Amino acid sequence: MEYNFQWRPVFRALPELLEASLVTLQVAAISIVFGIVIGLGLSLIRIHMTGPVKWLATAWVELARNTPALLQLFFFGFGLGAFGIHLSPYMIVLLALSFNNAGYLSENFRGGFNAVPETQLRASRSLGMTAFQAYTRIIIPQVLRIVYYPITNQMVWAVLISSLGMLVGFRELSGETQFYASKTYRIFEYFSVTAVIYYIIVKLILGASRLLAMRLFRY
Amino acid sequence: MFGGTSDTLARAKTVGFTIPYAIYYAQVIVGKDTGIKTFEDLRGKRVAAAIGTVPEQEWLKIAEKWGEKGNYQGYQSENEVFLAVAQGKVDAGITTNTAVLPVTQKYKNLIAGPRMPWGTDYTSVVGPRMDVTWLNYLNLFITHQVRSGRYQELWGKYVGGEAPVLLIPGVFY
Repeated sequence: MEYNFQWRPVFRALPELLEASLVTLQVAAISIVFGIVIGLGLSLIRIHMTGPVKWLATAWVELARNTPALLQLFFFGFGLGAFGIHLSPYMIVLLALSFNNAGYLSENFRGGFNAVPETQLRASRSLGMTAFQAYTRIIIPQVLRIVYYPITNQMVWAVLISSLGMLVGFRELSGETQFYASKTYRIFEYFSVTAVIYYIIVKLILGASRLLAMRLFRY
Repeated sequence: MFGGTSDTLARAKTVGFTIPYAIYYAQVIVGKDTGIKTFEDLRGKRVAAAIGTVPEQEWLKIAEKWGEKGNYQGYQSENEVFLAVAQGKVDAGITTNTAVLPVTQKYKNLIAGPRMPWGTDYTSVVGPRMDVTWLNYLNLFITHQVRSGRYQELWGKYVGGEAPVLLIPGVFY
């Protein structure tokens, strides 16, 4: 093979790549917070409500889970753009990721709610708690414990699919890599290093979540 | 690879370039209502280009000099750049003079904007860097295209007008 690897240009651009990976991490983290809040709401709506509100929530979950993330991204980018609504690349990626996260997490939460025995709710109500108290103090803490690892998975997923953001002009880790790769054509070297950076980010997230779990879930 | 690839020295460390086969200059396409007529009108406007291209690198240098912040958007390819200008996501999209005609014909709300101030864009065929005999063959292929008139024929069909003379002034290529 006549390909000569040249890593020096990549290492020279490393500070920029690391800075861009912070952007990746930031957008993924914010989108997961939105995803948790909205996903929790969607699952509660789907469990407890009927009529148009439930249909809307179901439509959200179905679309988020059963269409490609790329199409969801294009919807918030060029899709809304066709109606004259122009968001910045950052907002496009944030909204698309939040939409996607909320859909997936809502199903995780639904599973979590099903896993908490109904007697827990009845017992807390019989102790004189209001429905709100029963949910916020008894049910949801147990649900969060059950769905903790699925949420971690979703966070990893959010980091990885944020790479699609470069297709709508977002300069996160992948976009930055693409920029430098086409400047020098050391495409293989740049994307290999970027893959390693993604791997490290994901491992850090998983490690941090494990540490957090050890603290949170002590009996 | 025939891809309108600018023959930069940084890229030449990775791939092999032939003699130039197309010579462009950079020009923007703008939305009809943006009022952009001269290059100076681009100050404070939202501008897009394809990621990693030479026009992008040249524009970013100027944008930095002008102190423009957050007004630039880089897209994966020029197709997305044109779509972004057509939708009004950006005010101007940087492309080559050769693309202006077909694009403005396709999108009714786009018109040709000013020419960009940086130098001519010499684009070459790209081949494996170590295979010099193959690159020589490709050089000969280009000269044959020009000599036979096929080059002018294709240029007239897809770009329109006179094909550029494939010479770089003052340099023996």
